[in-house]
Amino acid sequence: MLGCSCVPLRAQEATSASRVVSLDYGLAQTMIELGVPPVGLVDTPAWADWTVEPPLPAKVVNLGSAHEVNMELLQLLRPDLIVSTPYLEWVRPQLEQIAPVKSFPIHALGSSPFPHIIDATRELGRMLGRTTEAEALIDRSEMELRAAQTATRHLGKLAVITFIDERNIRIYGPGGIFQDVFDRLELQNAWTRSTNEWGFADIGMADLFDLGDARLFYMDPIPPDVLAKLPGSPLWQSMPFVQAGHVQRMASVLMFGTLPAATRFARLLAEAST
Amino acid sequence: MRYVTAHPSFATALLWCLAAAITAINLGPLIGSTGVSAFFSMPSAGDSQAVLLHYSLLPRLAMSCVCGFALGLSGVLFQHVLRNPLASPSTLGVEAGAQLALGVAMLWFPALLGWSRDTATAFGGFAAMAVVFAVAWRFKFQPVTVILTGLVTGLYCTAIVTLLTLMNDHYLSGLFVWGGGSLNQNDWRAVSGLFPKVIGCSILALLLVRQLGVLTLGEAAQGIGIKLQFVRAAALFVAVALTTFTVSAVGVIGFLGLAAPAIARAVGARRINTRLIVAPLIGAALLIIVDQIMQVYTAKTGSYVPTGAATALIGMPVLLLVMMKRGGSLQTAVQGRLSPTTIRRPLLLITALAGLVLAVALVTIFVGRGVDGSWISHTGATLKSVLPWRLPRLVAATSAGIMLALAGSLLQRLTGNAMASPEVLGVSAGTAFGLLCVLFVVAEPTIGDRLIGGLVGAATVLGILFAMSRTAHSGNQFLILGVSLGAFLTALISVVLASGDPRALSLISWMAGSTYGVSSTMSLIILILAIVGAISVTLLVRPLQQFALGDVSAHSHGVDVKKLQILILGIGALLTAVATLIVGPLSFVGLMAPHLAQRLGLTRGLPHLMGSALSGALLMATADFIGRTIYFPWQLPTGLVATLLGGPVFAVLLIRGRRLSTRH
Repeated sequence: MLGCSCVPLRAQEATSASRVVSLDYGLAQTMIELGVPPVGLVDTPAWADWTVEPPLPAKVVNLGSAHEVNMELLQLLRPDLIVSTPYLEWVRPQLEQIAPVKSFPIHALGSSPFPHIIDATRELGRMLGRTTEAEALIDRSEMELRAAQTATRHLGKLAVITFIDERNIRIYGPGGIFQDVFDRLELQNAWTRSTNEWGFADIGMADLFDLGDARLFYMDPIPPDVLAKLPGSPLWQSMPFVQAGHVQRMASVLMFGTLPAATRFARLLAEAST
Repeated sequence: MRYVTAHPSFATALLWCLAAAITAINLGPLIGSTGVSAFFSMPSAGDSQAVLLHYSLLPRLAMSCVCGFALGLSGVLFQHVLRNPLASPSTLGVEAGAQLALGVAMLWFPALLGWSRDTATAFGGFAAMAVVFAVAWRFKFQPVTVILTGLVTGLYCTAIVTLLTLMNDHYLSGLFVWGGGSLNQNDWRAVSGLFPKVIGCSILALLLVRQLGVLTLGEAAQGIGIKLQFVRAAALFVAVALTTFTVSAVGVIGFLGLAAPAIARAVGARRINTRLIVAPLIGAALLIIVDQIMQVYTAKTGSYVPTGAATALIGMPVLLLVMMKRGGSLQTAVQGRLSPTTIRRPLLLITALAGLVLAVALVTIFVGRGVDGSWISHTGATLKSVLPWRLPRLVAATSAGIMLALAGSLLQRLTGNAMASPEVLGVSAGTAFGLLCVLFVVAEPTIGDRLIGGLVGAATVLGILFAMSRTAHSGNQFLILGVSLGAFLTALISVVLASGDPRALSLISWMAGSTYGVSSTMSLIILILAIVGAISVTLLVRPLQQFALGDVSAHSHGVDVKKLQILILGIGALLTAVATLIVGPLSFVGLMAPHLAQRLGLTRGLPHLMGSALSGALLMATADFIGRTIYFPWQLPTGLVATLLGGPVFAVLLIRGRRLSTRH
């Protein structure tokens, strides 16, 4: 499947694609950084809440749901390349009627996503005719991560969670980009139990006892009733990290993002540690 | 308790011993280390073990006990009042209404959640009940009307929730966890809020015991001077209140309300007085057992399954076993039927319906939206470029509508049960499950892989149904088996949804009835299959007529009942499997279309079948157009839009039909 779709792509290499549609936020992040923003992207209104950085250019056309890209609209946009993830593989035959499709496997491959993100960045750079920009983005990201490493030296053990509601929590670990950033900053994740292949685990609040007095970041967005209810919960109040005053709020970072998401996460950590 | 005979009390005691044993295994070591004093005294903040026990594990144990009791009690009430062993708290759309309220609050009125999440959900549950009661009141709470309105209200709310989810997939993960039924507790507040409400409802239920016993006499009770209508309304109100309070506290605990009364009946609690006591106790014990097992499981494996979803997984085989043994003792399902009037000239009506289908199809082909979102009728080259996207959707949706409608007609005729529909038979859920397996086993599933997975799933369910058909004696028992299988598979799916795995979202959009992935070749194949299906169903018209008169009558006419049953079921299931692959398991066209035809006056024989098929086609074609254009560039799944369209039409026809039939 992948093999056959590469043939038309290689033929195009000389001219390189300019009207590119992205069916994934993470890939769109990298494209914007490379200076070739997508002409169309799925679910553009939610970008500002979840991806935040880099800002989405206003002229990007909204293609609707990520699970059901609007084919008619896609056809009317006349793209010369569609970039996507393996999760849309089932509609590849339909997408290929419109333009060549390149799919980037990054997450849930049973390994850390970071190397796949680097590969995807290079590959995107090559296909968009922006190889130098791609290398520059990789170097810039490495540099930002190194800078953050110095800044976050004093953080110690830490954990990142999001609140599903006041009783149920999602915590992040191996398999996701947050853990990858921890590793590069040489920070230790306080959550040592297992996570799923996407790099998170759904747990109850009682499980947070395992974190001890590590530093805890809870990420936006937060359901509106949670912050009001936490102070009244004896369970939350008796958590060692709450008693030690090690709890901090953090702005949203795209969990399935690429290099811009990783550096954003590192920068937010660095800002929090000052 | 003097009502409890030796047999059911023995079984209940056994279950409670099991519950106690599992709880001891799970909590024992911790209690051992903290001492029993942690039960009662406020632990100091530093003592994490005692805090854990006092504020998380013990409230959770209490919560599972209270919720299990409440759901068991409400299940008994529902099943008794509605005289249907398939009736459960979800029958009246209470859970769906509550979930809808929660979703709407999350998206648009977050302040409401900050004020009180439980009140917001309870409001949704009671609102759904109010709708059902408003309709049912006119019908004196006749069981068949209550069930139908309840089902449709539930479907309607579920449809809107699914739409919200698809449009806002990032925001609503909390809704999935809620839908999975999580018993996690942070303190005693939730339990102490729920407990008095459940006690209050239980007292009300006990006050109703005598009147409930009279209900069994059916319409004959009218003579003894008891206002049936009020007894039914009061009992249903108590049942709905119990469900609503429970779901607003912990979310949907699947299956318990269905299983607990069934088990109570199977272990010998025959009289309603006995069941009212035994079923809640069994419910409480079951939920404790399941929840404690899940805690041990999570501790051992590190993977998290919401208890509510697990209940269905564990409760379902239990229920099946019980039914296989005691199948004969289950009450029969709804037999009562509303008698709509037959119109004199069915041909005229059928032609009009066909004309409408054609008109909608033409609009769908030519009208669409431009890049900037404006409405335009496409022509020439542009039309040619977008037609490959429009036509297959339309053809596939319409064909699927026809197939589901036919399957629904067949099953409703065969079983004489107004609730019967392909969705209810569990075949849809089987297809969904097959697809789910493909999504998780195959790394990059193509449309072909999906098809194979779906067909294998449907075939497996069919196989199980046929294998069990040897012990089943009536069409209704097929339905019970189907519903149980369906509930089981739906629970599996909600486990996956609650896990937050991104792949699950693609499953939701398919389940919602999206015709998105249909290619032109596929749509052609489906069209041919729909035509073949329609022809073969036409050949069954005569034997079906006899079935409408009941098994006995069919037998006396020299029909080989068993063979014919299997043939009709087989055709119905095949039609369902193909259609479900296209529009997902949630469209419920199969339930609505035959009723629509009937309410329009096409009540029997060939006109009824054709009317159903055309109603199905009309619903789906209209849904395809609306779904594609109304919220551009998002595309609303056809199956869902069909449900949203069909619901009100159905309700109007139901009420109007009532007026017509009272005129006689």
